Amino acid sequence: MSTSHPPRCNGSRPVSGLGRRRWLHLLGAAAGVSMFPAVVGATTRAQRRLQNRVDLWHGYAQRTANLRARYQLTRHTSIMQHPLVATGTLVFIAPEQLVFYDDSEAGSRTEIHGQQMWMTPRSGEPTGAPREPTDAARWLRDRFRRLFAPTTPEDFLADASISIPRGTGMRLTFLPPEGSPVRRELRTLQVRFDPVSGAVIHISFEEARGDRVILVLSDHRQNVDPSTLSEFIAPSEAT
Amino acid sequence: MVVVLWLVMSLAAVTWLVTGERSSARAAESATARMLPQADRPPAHDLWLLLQVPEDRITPHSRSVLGQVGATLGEQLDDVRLPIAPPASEIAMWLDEHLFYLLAPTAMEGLAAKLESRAIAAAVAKIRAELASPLFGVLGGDVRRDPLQIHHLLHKTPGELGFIRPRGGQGSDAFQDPQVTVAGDLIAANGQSLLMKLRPSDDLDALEARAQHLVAQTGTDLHARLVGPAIRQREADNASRNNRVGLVATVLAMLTLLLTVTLRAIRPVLCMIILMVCAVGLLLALEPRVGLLDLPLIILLLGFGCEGALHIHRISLRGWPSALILATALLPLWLTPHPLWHDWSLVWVVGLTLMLLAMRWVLPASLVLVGSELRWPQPGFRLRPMVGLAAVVTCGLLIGGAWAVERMPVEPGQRVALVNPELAAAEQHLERWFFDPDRVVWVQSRGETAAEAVAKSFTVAHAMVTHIGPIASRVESPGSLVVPESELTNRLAALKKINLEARLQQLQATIADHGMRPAAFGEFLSGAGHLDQTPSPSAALEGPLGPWIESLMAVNSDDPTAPHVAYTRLHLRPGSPVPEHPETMALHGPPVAAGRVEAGFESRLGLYSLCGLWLGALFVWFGTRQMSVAMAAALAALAAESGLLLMLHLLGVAASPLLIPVLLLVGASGVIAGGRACRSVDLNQPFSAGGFLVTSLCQLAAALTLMFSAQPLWREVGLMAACGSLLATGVGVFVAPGLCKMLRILGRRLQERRS
Repeated sequence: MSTSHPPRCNGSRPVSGLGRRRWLHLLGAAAGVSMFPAVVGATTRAQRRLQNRVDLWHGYAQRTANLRARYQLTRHTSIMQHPLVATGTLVFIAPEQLVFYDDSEAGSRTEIHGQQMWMTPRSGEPTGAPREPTDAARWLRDRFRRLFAPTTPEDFLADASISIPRGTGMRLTFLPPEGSPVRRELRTLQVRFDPVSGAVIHISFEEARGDRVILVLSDHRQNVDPSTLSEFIAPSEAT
Repeated sequence: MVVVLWLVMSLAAVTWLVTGERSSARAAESATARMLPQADRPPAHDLWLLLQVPEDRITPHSRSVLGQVGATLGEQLDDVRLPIAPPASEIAMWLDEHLFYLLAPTAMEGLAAKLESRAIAAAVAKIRAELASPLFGVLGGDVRRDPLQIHHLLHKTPGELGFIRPRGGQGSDAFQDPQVTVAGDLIAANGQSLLMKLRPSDDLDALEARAQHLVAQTGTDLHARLVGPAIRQREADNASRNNRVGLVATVLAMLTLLLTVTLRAIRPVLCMIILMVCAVGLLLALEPRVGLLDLPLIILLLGFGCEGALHIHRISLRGWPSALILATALLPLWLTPHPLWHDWSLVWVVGLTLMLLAMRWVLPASLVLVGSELRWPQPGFRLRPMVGLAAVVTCGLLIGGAWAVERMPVEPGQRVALVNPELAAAEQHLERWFFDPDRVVWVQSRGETAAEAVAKSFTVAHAMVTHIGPIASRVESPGSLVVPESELTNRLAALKKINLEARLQQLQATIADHGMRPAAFGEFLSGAGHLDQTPSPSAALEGPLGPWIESLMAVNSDDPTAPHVAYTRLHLRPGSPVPEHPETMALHGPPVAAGRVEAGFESRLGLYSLCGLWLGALFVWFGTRQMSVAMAAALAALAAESGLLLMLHLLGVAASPLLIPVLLLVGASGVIAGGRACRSVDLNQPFSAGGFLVTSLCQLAAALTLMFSAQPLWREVGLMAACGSLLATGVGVFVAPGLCKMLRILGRRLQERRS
């Protein structure tokens, strides 16, 4: 007696001529092709987000001939028993003069003019010898100037590692270049722009010694009558 | 018999040289250093390892990479590494702990002013005001460690603490100052290189290979290279060692060719060459040091030594004046301040005596042995004394030489140019970004113990600080950071007068009044409050600064009562003179020696030249007993020397101590040529121009060998010798007879006037 058996079918082998390995290759290729737009999309999204922030800043900064704003400075430091809070007026005169003028007589007047920097108590002489800048001071000086000056986007982003922090808001984080001696004194600097006007409304930075400084800017007045700024400029310069 | 004796002597010399090669290798060292007096030679411990980032690999990370590799390498080379500067953290701690003691008595008034109630209140209010500035963290300095800015009193002059930068105040005077790492190495201001100090080693090649291997293991592209005086010396010795056989072979080949063509015989020439080699071998057995500066003189010795074999016109009957003139040609070198030239003033006498003995004593015997003879082509011409030409040429050359010597720049000749572009680039980098080792002078402070030597360097360091400014950029001394026991008592008494404790309590209260925490200033307050910790020399030696102090110390057994030496190093600015100093603080170093060389170099060059000419004229007079001949020969030689100076000036060659022996040889050659020419005229004999030319050409062959050698230094010596030998022959032959006749005419007229 003879019995006819249907052809054996091995479940692990496909019926078609394609091998298992080839199927796996095809599957991998399909997955790769499907993920490619996601990778490209991620890159372009980050670039777009950065471009949005730069455009926002540039839209405001390029119109700046001078700027006057109120600021509140909060310094978290181990020197003080409580965080130090100071208020004052920020004055920027394009292209490279920036003044932080404390309201209180116990505070100070800080000026950046070109390559030079002054930091004098309000009660003392308004002018004097400029301070000897460290690498970190130079980096911070240039960063502050670029935030307010009508400069190019390339200059705005130069000499720093840029990232966009998580969370909402038009913010940018600037890190000193890797390997730079600036990192021994400054950890990070974060800036927030007004989502409508593009003005800088919040600056915070952390120092290597542990101090954290927060500057909140408000009441921005762009391109005001220069005579209204004279009280914040050192007498010798105002004349 | 003579030949056998000579051969035995030569064989013994060769055996001595071969077996003594290793032991004499060390003696061959420091040929270039021997140009400096012993006291002014750079200390043997000046050896550095330079780590450089290749130019095409510079990134913003280079500085941190260098720092990491430096730290790793420092641990692995711990047995040979020394800190160049006090390590950053150790010195900060030392200064904090001993700030008040380290303040000079002149700063006490300033300290008292800073500790007054009003000053304290103002300082604290200033801190409070500056805290409200966004730039406080980067411009405010380190107020936690120095709220009253007392460190400014310690760093009145930037550079007075060596490479240590003042904290919180003005930076160092040079913006490009290197930065001290936590291990005490230096990182260049551009962040592209790191400098590490190493202990000297007998085997520098092995040390360099070890360092390069360790750098390669870090997986970075950094280039590691040793730099320092010892490395320059190694390069110079290698250059000498690698080229000596080639140079000697070249000059011998040239002499063989020249003499064979002239004498038209091969056997006598080969005998001559073999004897010359034996003579040099005997000389090297007596004086085995053949350094970079010795080799050109040995080559010139071969060229000038041929003179002995060539029996052309003789000044005297037996021809010994020319031999004596040539043998004593370099005796005036004894008057120079260079130890190497002192040696050569005698070595040349010995060397040339050996050559002359070989040529005049052994050569005839050798020729008999080989069955040959030395025939000299005799045809010649009769020299006619030309008074007018002689007067014009002599006056022209003397005036030209005087004009040139005043305008020639003087090169002290301590830093010999070497053909090694990598080493030259590394040295330039060291000079540009760290310091110039050739511009460092030092004062030695000696003591029975290391602590005593360090204590003595305290006075020296404070005296040297007055030179910082336009003259010097920094002072490195262990004495800058210690206070000797005798001075500690005075300083403690001065501090007690200020009532320091009460002032500090007031400072704490004022800080609290302004809403600040006194604990934040704890480092300052605790350091200031502990005056029982004194910065004594023994505490410094035993403490964390010990390794750095050790790098500035040496043990010298010259003086058994005070073997320990502490160095106070003053970094002079480029082009600045060596400062005036009292005899008790004698400054030493290459710039000091260079200053001595440069001061009145022209006058001393004239003195050496005149000494040489006087000796030459004396021997000519002994040989001829005619003053006019001796004077004419000397005058012609002086004109030849002046012509050489003029020629070198026009060629842009600077005057240097290397010029002295060549100038003396040219003088001697000129005297011999002049003496022979005058004698030929007096005896009315034909002057053998061919023979005379060969004598000059032998010297020229030696000079040309040097001119086409690898080392710039040898090329310079070759150029001087080539110009000089041609001038000496030309002026001696054609000018001296005219001068002799002129002197005789003048003498006769003077006699007539007297009579």
